[in-house]
Amino acid sequence: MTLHIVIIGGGASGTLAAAHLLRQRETPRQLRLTLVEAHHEIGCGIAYSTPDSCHILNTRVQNMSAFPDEPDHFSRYLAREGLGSGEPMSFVSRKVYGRYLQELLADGSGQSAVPRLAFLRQECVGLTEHAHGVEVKLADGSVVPCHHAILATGYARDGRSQTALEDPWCPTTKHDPDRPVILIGTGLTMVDMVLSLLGRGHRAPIYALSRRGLLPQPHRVTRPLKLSAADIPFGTSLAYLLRWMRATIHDHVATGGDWRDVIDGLRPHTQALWRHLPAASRARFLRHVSSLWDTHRHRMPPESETRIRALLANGQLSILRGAFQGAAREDGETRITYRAAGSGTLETLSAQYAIDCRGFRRLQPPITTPLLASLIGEGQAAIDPLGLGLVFDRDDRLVDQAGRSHARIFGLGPLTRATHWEITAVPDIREQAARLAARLLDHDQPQAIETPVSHRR
Amino acid sequence: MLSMKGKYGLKALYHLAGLPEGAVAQSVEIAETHAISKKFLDAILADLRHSGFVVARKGRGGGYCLSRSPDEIMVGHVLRVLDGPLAPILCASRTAYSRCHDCRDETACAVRLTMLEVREAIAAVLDNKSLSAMRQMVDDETSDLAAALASS
Repeated sequence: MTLHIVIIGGGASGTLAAAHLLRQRETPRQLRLTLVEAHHEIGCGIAYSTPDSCHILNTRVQNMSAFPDEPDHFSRYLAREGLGSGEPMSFVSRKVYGRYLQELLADGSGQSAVPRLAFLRQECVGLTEHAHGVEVKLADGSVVPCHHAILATGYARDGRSQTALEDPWCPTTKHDPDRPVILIGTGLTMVDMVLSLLGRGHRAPIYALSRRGLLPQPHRVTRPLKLSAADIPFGTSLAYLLRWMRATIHDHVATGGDWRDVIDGLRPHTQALWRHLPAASRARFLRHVSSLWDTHRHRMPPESETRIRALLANGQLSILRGAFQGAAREDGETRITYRAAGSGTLETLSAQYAIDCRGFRRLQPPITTPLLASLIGEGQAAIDPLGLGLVFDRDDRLVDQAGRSHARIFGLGPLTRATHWEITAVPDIREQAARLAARLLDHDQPQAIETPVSHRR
Repeated sequence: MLSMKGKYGLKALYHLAGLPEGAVAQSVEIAETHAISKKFLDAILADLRHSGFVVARKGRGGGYCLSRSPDEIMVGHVLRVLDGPLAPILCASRTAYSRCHDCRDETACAVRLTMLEVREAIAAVLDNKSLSAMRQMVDDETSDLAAALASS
């Protein structure tokens, strides 16, 4: 029997899912794949669509291979295609990575009469699971039957265009290099936008606003600490965990190490830490610690750091600390209001436009993407209490509003953030894709599992 | 090796896991049921409170209860807090690391390498054993015993 799997979403997550399934199949006859993607080119998604070559990956080449067990897969690709040195410690542009992901699927379709890998340029609008398979409903009214469906729709970013802020990944055409620009957020997207502006010859001031004004830390060469699960205090409260983390970093730095070694050493364990973190601590983490964690965990390449430091030194870039309140467009300019940190006074600032660099926003009703809206509306899916994404169980099966896991609908990538937290970067998603592929190819008839509804006290 | 602290801590949590929803237990009650010195138990409960496994309610009708469902609290997680890293030998821990004073080359130490494996095995058992599962084991044992007695 040929297993037919439909992957919804053709960004990095969906492409990695397809690549791992194709790689783990035993024979070409065993598997048929359909990748549904309406908006972006396959492999690119929002992360790798940028045509700007100054947008570089925030992870070194050596950690960006699509296959965790073949760490030089990406650097060999770079060398073969003559794209840069392929040097494992270097950083390459995101555009190049998008091409690499596309290339992964290029030879997957095979030369058989029935294509083993099909692409549908369509939007998926609903899923129906029945005992033997899943029906995937498309925007044109057609239905694709399959055995399993994988949701890899990423961040569900719709609805942002209604604000007065610009979308960072759809650059405006009307750019005046002599008028200031405001960036909301001071994370990695802000860094990308500053570099883009410079690339377009921007000369006027750039203002970047965030609550705490924390910039991403720069990468250095690290030797990740080999932390064992036996050493890490899982299941403790956030306060206890942070005390432990600070003490561990302190001890490591005292013996001549770098704090990055500890943060990187925790990487294999972050998903388990999140899973066992008590519910109250998760909420507290998001409110008080996540920006600090993100700036240390998701770092910028040293080249970017040098340029940002230079701009800060010559005053073209200034970092404002305050809580963003709102933005309005009038007379060809955008005015933002924010509550300044410290004084607490409302301030306004005007510029030719303002770009939303805040990254992931919480999922809040009303959900505007048709697929998620229909899944939630029908009770097939639930938004997790913290609004990070949909609820999935430990095996990445979609959980419905009654707490039951679907047997045939799975999730992958940022949409599963509520379950795994650190699932936004390729090194994490590729592991998840490998696990999911193994699960789907080994077990044709998974049984529905009742997830225990926990009684919170 | 399980310390007295770890042992009493687990007994106290076992006790709390058996309480009905919303009920609390005072430390004197736990101490008497399990024959633990109350002073020692109070120190252990304070550790468990600081690490977020139990919460204390103050005042009349106050006492201790679990911070969340007993399915979600793993024995291994509690023991890391009470006894430190799950390491059967100190050089097998990264955070509570200490080198043996008579050690020449720890990367090639047969005892250490074996104990590293033991450590993973300990974690695999204890991190998958919840307080509920712990109670279940006791219930299974007693019902087996009752069944054996009834059939004899």
